[in-house]
Amino acid sequence: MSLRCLAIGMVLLLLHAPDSRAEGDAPGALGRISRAKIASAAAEIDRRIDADLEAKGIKPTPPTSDAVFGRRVYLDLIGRIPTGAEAAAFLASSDPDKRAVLIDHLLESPGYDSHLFNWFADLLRVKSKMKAASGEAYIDYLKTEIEENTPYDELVRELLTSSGPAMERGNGAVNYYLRDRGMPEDNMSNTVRIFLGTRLECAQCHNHPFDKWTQIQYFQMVAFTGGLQYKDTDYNKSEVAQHVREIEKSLKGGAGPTQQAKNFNKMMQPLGYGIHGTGTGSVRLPHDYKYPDAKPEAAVTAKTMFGDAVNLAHTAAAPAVKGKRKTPPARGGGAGVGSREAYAEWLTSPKNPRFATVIANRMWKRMMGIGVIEPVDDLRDDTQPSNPALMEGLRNLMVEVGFDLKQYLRTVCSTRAYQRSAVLGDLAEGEPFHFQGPLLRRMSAEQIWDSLLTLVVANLDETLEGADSPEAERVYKEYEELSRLTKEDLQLIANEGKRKAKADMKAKEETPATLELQRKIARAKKKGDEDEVARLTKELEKQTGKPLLMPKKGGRRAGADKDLVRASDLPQPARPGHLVREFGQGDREQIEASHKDPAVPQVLTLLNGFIERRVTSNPRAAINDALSAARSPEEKLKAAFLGVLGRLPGSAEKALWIPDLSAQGASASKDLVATLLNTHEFMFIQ
Amino acid sequence: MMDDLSRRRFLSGAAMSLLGVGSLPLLESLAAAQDKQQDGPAPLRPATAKNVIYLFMTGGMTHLDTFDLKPGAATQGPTEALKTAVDGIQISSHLPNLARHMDKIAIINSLNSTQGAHAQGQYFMHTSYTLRGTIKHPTMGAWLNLMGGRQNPNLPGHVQIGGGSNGASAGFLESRFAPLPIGDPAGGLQDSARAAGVSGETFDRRLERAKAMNKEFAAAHDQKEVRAYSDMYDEAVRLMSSKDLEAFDLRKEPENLRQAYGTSSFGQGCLLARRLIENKVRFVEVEQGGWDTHNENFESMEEKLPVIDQALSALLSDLDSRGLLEETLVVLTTEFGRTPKIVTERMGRNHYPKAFSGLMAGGGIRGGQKYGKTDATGEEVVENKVSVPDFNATIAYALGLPLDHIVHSPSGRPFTVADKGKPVTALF
Repeated sequence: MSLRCLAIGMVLLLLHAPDSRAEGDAPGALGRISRAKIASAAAEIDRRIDADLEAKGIKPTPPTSDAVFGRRVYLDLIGRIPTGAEAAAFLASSDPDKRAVLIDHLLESPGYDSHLFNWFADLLRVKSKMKAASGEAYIDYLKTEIEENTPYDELVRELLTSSGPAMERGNGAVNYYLRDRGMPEDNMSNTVRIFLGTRLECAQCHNHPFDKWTQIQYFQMVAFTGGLQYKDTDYNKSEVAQHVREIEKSLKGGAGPTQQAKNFNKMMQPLGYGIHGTGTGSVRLPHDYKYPDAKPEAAVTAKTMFGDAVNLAHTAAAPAVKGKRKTPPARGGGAGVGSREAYAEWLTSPKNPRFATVIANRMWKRMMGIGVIEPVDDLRDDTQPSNPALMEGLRNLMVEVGFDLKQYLRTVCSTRAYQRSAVLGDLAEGEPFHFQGPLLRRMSAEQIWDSLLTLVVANLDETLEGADSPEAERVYKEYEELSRLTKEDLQLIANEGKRKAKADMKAKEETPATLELQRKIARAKKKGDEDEVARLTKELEKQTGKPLLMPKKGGRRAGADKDLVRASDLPQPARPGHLVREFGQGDREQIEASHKDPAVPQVLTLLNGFIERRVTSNPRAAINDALSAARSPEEKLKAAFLGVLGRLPGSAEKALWIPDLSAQGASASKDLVATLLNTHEFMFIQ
Repeated sequence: MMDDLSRRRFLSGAAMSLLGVGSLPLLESLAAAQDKQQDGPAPLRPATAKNVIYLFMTGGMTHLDTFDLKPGAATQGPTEALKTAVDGIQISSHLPNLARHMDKIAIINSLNSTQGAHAQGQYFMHTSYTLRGTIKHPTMGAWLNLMGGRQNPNLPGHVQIGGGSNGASAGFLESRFAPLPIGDPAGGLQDSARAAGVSGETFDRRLERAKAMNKEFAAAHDQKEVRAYSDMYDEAVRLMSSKDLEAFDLRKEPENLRQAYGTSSFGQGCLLARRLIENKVRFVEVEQGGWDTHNENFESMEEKLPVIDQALSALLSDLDSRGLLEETLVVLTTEFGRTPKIVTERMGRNHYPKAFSGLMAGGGIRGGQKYGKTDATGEEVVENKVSVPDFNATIAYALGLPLDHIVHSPSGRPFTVADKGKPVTALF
């Protein structure tokens, strides 16, 4: 390998090598649990797997090579392939602890946050544009919590108990409920499915046909979120709200709301948007309730579906729901007996029979390709894990590390089971799997995108935006500005609106030509063709001689490379047709809507699209830098194999490529990179 | 259950149809196999349709505000009824163009599903089976391509426009039966031509070397997911060299026709569907989302229905004038209806699988009729209930697919197209 690659790699390793004071332990927060402790926890998991394998007479797969392990753990923990330099450094290191060192290094790198965010976004249906408002505050909230490595149980409690204005800085958690605005029943089904791995939605309309749940149990669960209001009612009492109402009234015509009133209302909408109510612990049955245990529309009181009962009278005296994370709660939750707090406590308690099991199983599946319990979100009383002792061990581990996902994943990656070669051949459908090794997996859509970018953008992870993005800042600023508006400000806005409406009317009267142009602009806007909008707007300005408001540029970042950011920094979800969508990123309409199914457009992109445009024929692409820095054909071949596949070339591969690289130079380098990127070896995680 | 002989026939038929030999070899062999069966399966009838354009209204299309109007009922809300070209049939006043095409359309007002959640409802409507954790079932388009064969060996037999993640997949069948997804119809099939600056020779050399590595990888990891990607490379390369690729290019259509369908993604999707059907793609699904009108149901109709009105009317006229309507079954459906009761505080309607509407046109369907009936409020089906499997059996019937023919999943479980649904023969 080239000296340069090696040098970069060694520097990286040195930077992240364990400091001497900690005797081989990770620095910083990760070091709160020593490597020795993690190793013994991992050994306990392995004991449970090995005992099961032995009992079933199944041979475990052999340990992975360093090359396979390195690539796998980069993809699993930070969501992208290692760069050539990173792969080279790992392979070259003679540290006997180098796998543990790498695991700790990756867990503390920003790619970890990005990769985990993608996972949560798929699970929680995170969208940049939610039905009624921006989802940026929600995205910002989740990214912040992930970056702070907030324990999972604490995060879930916050999602379930939050209240207050949705656009207020630091209060994004309320979007968990707003994601299902107006649908408290659906929200409860989603909560139970996501966090307790249990399907309750059938019981919304009738007793569950395949599980034990009755309709009344369903509504007893809904009752925990009873009285929830999808607005920040405290705002209604504020002075600003008073002024807004007055002005809205003045804008309304005799025959109902005018367009201006509607627009004004929309403009002020972020102010009242939020969640109110700590939970009344009570809800009414539907009008067509048909079972003998209660009358239609009877009130039912909150009652947990399994596990410990919750005493609501006791929790009624509890302090108001904490809604905000970074600022002390400024307002109470309003009417209620605090049943949401009780709901969250019950749900996230280590004593809850399913909460810890579900997250332990989901995280295990994320690393191994399959859960100990499958499917991960349809647990029933008679559900059998494929290895009950392993499931119990993983659950205990999750509780022991205090729901710290980093420490949990650190342990999983340290097991011998994770560090074995992938299992070969098809799994027998319906047969329990015993973890003789991890499964071969196709990369997720985000892993593919982020890995391709690794080859394009040098130091990709340094460009990660993460929390506190300009998009979130814009939302917070807008909310703050609106909150501060005085009566005079509001009047001014309304008057300006009226004036502009009149001017627009006049503009429309002018000529058929300008009218046609305006129509065209509207059409282009609808299509999302920004270049066309800009061109037509200029044309219109020329014709009318008046400068018009420039349309907002839609890009999240300025500059030519605004799209070359990691998947977690793209709009959520990415636009239809984007590479990350073509490879299966979900539309975020349903829980875990992402998929890994093959499709022709994916292959076309790899053959003729992204790789050609952004990688092989892009002189600034990082992989091309590495190849040009390599001086001999042998070095170039190594750089390409390490950069794309994380391994060194074999002898047959050398025999095939070195003559070309010697004879044709640059064009052979292009062929090489394009070829390697079209291999299954690139697309799959071994 | 099928006996061994008929299973062997089926397999050889499937193999032949995959090789592109003949257009309907499988059906013939199936028909032969079934003649010998003892328990008297439904006699096969000649297909009245060859292709399907399947319009899916994602989110749950309100029946009361589209095709099952209840003028005067408290559940109707502000939606107004409009007389159509056919006496006694009224539809929403937001569908004035479609009203003129009613002679081509059969409305079904008695659909009934057992699934009240989106994912489950969409899955059920596409596959006729309920969503399970243990198996994935094929969507109707996959069934058609399995049993009926591809008609154009160069193009995929199954395309899905504008959608995704609504239950339409090859299920347990091989991935070549899965729909080819097209995100933006106006963009067509992106990257389907060799990049500028890559010569044919270069392209072939790269491909050959990648394939050699892939062969080795697939031999070591002999897994369905890996094999599927090998298939996809073959498919993509075949498509690239096909003259039929123009089928994906809407720029080949005259501007006035593009305008006639409407500039919406759904409108352009319908136009693309027609182009593809013309090029012998057998099943094209076009999705329109945004029907989950828990809030502001009636305001939403003002936006959604004009799009449907324009696109569907243009599609029916266009198919008709090209003589394609006879052989093309146009289906419009959704995962469930919406509650007749209006949630007044947000002027919305909630999920309602008990009664809802869909429609069919062309492909042998007798237009100008309304089938099935709900009560005065639109809450209960009171006449000719049509279950989701029945609805899909009707599609299969039009296509001449044998409803009792069993296909086994890799794990050996038996499945049939439309899961024992009964076709609504009165529609033909």
